[in-house]
Amino acid sequence: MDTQITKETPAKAAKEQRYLRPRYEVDTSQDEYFVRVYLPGVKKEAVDITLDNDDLLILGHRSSVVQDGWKTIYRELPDADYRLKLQLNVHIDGSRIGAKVEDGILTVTLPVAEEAKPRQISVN
Amino acid sequence: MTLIKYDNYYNDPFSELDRLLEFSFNPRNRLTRFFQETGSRDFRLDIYADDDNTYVIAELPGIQKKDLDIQLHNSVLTITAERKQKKGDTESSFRAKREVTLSDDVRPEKVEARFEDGLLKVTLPKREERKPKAITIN
Repeated sequence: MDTQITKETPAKAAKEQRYLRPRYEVDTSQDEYFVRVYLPGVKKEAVDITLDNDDLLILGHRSSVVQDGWKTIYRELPDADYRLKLQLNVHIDGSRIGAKVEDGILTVTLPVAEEAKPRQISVN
Repeated sequence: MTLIKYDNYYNDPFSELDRLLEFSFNPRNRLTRFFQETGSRDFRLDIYADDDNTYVIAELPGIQKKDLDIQLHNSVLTITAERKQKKGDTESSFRAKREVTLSDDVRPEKVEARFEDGLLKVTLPKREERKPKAITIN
């Protein structure tokens, strides 16, 4: 009986978790890609970035500014956390990924892996 | 070469479900979503109140303090955000403005604004005479 209950709880919690897909932009330079994700209300510590093969997963946990005793008058801001999953087309050097959060925008720097860079082949 | 293989909602089954649910059952978001999808750059805001203050919270990611203009005129709060970005030869600009009508009991000289993590928080204190008062019986 006990084991059944402990098994059920995490699954149920995961189901109830709702996510919001943030807006994002992609920019490129010589051998890097920049993904800018709009995450208003998310602190630096609350961002979680995972690269699994070619899947880039970004999770942002929103910290509430609403204090106890505040009465809601009008609401538009969602409370759901942010989740963005992108399937990358380019092979990325996972060890050199950089990220920074500034004014509610997360910028992820994705350096192209050596083997994916264009190569000049000389004809003998 | 593009970075992202293809970006559709099949990558992210949760998000499409959420979008549909939100759109169908949450009339609150219907209008803002409509404007977002038609390309107009509006921003979302919340209004809260307690006994002492009214609070306005707005989502403004990527905006800097100097690009924000907050005006209070006859109990109408106007938030304007403007940004110009230059990258090489291209220049992009962004401008968004929202007006909120608040009750007339705000003390304009005491209004405070803070900006953190892309969230703007404006605190508008209420007038003393409008605050709830406990009445003692003699």
